Amino acid sequence: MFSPELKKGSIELLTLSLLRDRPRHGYEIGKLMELGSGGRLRFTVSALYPTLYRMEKKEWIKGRWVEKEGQRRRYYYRLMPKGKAVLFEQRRNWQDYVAAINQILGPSHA
Amino acid sequence: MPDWIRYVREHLRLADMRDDRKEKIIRELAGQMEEMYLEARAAQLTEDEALRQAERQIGDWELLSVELGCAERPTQTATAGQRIQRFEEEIRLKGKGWPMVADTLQDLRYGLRMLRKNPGFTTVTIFSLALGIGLNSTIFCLVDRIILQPLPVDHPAELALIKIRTEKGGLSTSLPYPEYLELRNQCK
Repeated sequence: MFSPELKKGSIELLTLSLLRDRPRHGYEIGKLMELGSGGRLRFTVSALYPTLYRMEKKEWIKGRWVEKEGQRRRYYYRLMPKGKAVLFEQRRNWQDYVAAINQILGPSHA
Repeated sequence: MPDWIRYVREHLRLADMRDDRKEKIIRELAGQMEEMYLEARAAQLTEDEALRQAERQIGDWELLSVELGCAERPTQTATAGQRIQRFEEEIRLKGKGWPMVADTLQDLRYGLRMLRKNPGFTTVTIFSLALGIGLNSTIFCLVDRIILQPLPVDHPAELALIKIRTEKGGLSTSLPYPEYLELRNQCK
């Protein structure tokens, strides 16, 4: 399992990335992170929701209640222009960081 | 199925938060718990097991309350030093002569940091500067009115300073009233 610090450092990027294509609700975001990582990345409610609220406060994302037929009311988050810029920046930083780490680690001989 | 809104309301402690915001969070988390519960039930888990699974997803209510409280607090605005540092980094990236400006800003930031570290010295410095600036302004105003600006009379260029020779041979600008009257009459 990944360390909590490592997960904490990537939760914003992952959330923004999942909201890039369309609005999603909190439960869906958590589920997609779990499914997309093959079950290796599981975020607790204590980690996911405070992050969503923090990003909403910074106006990176914006939420609203949506009621679809046959479903209960859900709070959907969508990516805002500020969030798009942050996503672009964070993704580039992340890729640079991973490339730098890999460069030091060198090819795997395992 | 449990009343999830009531359940969350009973467990979550959200102090210092606007009521509408508190209500929104409670409803959203209640929805999350309901989703988890229904998913567990759909996977053929018993009601008790499904309930426990939903509770496990929340983990520590105390921690969640603290984290939510922190997330809802207004975001800290950057201090003057942080703003200067950000600007400094931006202009350093421009290259050419800009690093010199960045160095000056760095010195300014250092100065601000030192002032913050020594409040006593800062107070005395600010007080001395205020006193110096105030005194200079007052003196300049006086000199300006008395020497630099023309006197507030009709023909200031025609004004003359009259001095009389005293008995001891010296010069004096004060003269007796009858002599003043005589002089005035001669000027008419």
